Amino acid sequence: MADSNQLDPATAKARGKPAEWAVAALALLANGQNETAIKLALKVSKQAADDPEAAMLAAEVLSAEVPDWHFRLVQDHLRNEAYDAALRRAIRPGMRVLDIGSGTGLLAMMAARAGAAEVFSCEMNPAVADVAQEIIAVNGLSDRVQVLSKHSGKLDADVDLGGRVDIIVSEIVSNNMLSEGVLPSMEHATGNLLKPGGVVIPARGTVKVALAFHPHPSDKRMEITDGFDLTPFNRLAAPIYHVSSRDTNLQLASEAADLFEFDFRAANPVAKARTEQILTAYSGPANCVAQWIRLEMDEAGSYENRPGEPAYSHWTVIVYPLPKQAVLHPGESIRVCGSHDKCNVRIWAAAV
Amino acid sequence: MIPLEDSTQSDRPAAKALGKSADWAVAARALLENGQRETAIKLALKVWKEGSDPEATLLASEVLSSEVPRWHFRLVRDQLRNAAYDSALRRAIKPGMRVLDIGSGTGLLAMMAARAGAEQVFSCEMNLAVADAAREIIEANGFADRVSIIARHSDELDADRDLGGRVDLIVSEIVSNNMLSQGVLTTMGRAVTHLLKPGGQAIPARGTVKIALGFDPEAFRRRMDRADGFDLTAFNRLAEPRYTVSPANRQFQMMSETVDVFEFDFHAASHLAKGRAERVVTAREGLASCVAQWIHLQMDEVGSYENVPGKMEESAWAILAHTLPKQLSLHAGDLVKVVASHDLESIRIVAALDKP
Repeated sequence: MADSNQLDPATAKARGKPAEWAVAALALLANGQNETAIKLALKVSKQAADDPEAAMLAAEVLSAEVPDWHFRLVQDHLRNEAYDAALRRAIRPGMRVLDIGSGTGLLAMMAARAGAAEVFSCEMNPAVADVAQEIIAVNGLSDRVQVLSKHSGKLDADVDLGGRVDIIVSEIVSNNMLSEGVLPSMEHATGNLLKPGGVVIPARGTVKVALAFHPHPSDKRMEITDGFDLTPFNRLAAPIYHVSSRDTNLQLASEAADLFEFDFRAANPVAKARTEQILTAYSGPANCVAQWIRLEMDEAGSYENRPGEPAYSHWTVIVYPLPKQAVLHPGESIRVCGSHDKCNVRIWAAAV
Repeated sequence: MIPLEDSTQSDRPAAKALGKSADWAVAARALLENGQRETAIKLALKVWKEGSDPEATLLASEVLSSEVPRWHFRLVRDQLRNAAYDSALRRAIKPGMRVLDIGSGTGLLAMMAARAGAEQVFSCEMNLAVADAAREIIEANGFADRVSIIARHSDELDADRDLGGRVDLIVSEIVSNNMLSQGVLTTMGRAVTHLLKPGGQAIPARGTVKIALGFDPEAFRRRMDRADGFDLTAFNRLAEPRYTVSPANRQFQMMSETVDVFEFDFHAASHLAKGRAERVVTAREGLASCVAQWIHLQMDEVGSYENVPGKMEESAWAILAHTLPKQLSLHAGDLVKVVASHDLESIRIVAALDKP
């Protein structure tokens, strides 16, 4: 499959067997040759309108490394509005923008709509980059928005962007803020790709925590089943779980505290850190620590998936059950400890 | 960091003397990331059992849970499943019988076999952390004298060396949502040939993959449309071709009669070939977004289990919704051609209106 002539759609069509090409793409994927697999699957996908089996096989390859939050996040209207408003406030005629993590290309297109002269949008997944390029063309913005199929860490300002940009916009924050690598990515980008004094959207992020009560779902723990005690299996349970910020079963039971704050504009590398906060249950019993995020887009706008707010958020709230199924009563305090290693956040509770 | 090659260095008193079980947990995580799963799990188990430091416990828990699928926690709550296995085991087991349970999990099926009167039960489990927990559960429930856990995949068992000869009965629950993807065909093929007495019984005995047209009113949540003035539909090329729906979801609608696409006899090792099937189903009036696919297990000649869409309270198995390229608007009596294929592990399904 190394000869690119073999990937020529005309050849595949002459053979009349796009499904066989799709099977080849699946085999390449299984063999770890992701990039070739994706290129082949993209061709099949574009040609297979009348061959649903080939299209389905191609979709297996193309979707293999596309997280399904892509489909959820564009339905998060408060997020979209927060980004759109911040871009409109920041962008002046003639400005050049870098969007880190194209996804659908939505933020890059927003930047172009807000008046940017030129937008570069980088995306490390080649299937996603290809589709983003097509979406940008469909929406008539190809003249001003360019998709670069690379991780931002591999961009060179002069070679790829025609010099440093005025604005960096990104949405590479995860439910715990860090696990998509926002800190190292932004460190590199602000240091190497942004003009001095340039704008970063979002500007800052805060990891928020509070004591909370959630009736831990029954499918997360073993009990007595059919007369047998299965509780030793609980040591294999995941230590955390995720709930929607709209889950009305999650009730905050203390003040919210800021566990970690990150300034994405900082030129100095962020170091690993540990911290702790003493939280007191005041409004009811607590059996867990809930963690969510807040983004300061700029000095005017923000976004927060605070539990109990009615609007949909594509970010989830992370629930850390208290150890040994402990329950705190109003007036009782606990130490909420946190650590981060730049890529992961861990939270645990300990007696005061 | 302290070298871990010497097992005396990882015993509890040594870790305690250092007073740093969190460091040991960090080491367990590093070992896991380095692919040294077995050492990582052993170390994490010690840290977890010590249980004195909440940070260390959290890290140990990350290691221990890392390759334990969540369905372990769901499936024991499926009471119809448990009852189907328990009653089939009670019907099959006669005094003196020796049983092999493939895939211990919690050890529940192995304990059911012992409770039903088996003289000796072997239960094999390839995940070391799961095998360790199963052993403890079996002990806690007082079955350690009759049930032994073997921390290996059934493919690595030798009847004479590991089981003291071939067994009378094999019980397993290694079927996935599509029946096949946990490798039930190859595993059972090998186990029946090498580990079961001639004429011995397998529970479940047979499995059938069932399909019908379906409509999921929430299907649009997995599709891109317009967002904030931009057309994002090209992204749908990257959507997964199938997804899971709970059989307890009452919004999910069946839009045709049900047909069988594949039937597997777990007694027979002779069906180890890929398969392809075409079926024509008759539609009901309305919209269809997918071909729904679920499973039927025939435990023996008497009992069965099926996770019928929209009819369950709780099931160990989800319905797979194989998305149609475009939603179909169907008239009652429309014919839809469904093509299904399997390669012993995956099941793939496509469908289109059958034009006369």
